[in-house]
Amino acid sequence: METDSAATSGWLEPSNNNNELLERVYVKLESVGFRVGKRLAERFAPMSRRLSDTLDIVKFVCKDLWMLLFNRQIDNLKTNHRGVYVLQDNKFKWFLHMSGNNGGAGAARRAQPYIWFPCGIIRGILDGFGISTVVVAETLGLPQCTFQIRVVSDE
Amino acid sequence: IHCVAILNRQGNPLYLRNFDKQQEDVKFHYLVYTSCDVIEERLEENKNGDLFLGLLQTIGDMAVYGYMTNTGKKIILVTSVSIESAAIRSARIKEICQSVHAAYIAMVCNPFN
Repeated sequence: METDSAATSGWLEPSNNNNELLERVYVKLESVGFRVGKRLAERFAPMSRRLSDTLDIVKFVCKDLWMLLFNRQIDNLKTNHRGVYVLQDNKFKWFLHMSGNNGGAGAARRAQPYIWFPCGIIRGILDGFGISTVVVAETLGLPQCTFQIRVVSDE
Repeated sequence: IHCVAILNRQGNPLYLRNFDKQQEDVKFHYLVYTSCDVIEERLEENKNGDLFLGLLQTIGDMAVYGYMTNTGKKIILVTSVSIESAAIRSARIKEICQSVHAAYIAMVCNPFN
């Protein structure tokens, strides 16, 4: 444990330099995800029918797109019908093989960058359908993760 | 076919190709923009339908067909009026629109553009 914390503390110790670095990593990963998401929307939007309802589009993301990307569907979708959707994945593929104290808080923190990319993807897909959103993700314990989609109206 | 045009969700033209050597580009730009309004009307009355919107309008000796993808991209085809029956023509135009859509997807996904 001694060596473990020594190896990782240099990277995540709260100091201005590291926070700024994490910030830049976040922006970069999320924007790459955004561009990927936009193209995914073009490529995989259904050709046989028209999706007009935001809820339908989010469901499309949950079922079809998650299946394409991770070979499984979102476990739980909640909405407050006022523009907030919560997607919960209990066995997020990228977390399945991560080790780390049985999913403790430290492991969750170190896994953050891996969750920023899918956030960007979701935001990119929804933007491809014309919906501006803010997507935030959190994990309460690997391998579970939750994505929160908040629709931003243009007023 | 006289003209193919692709517009994005806000109506900005992404691509417009004039195959007719006797007409000016400007005329087709104008035609495409007026067709945009017709597309809006059609979408209002036809939710949850097909992506192909059919014949939008006929002006002079030209017929304008519309197709809108789920991502808000509009594909507009201007052809000369022909003698084929409406159903057959519709099906053929629809196929053309789908090929244009596929080509557009291929172009967008290409990381070298």
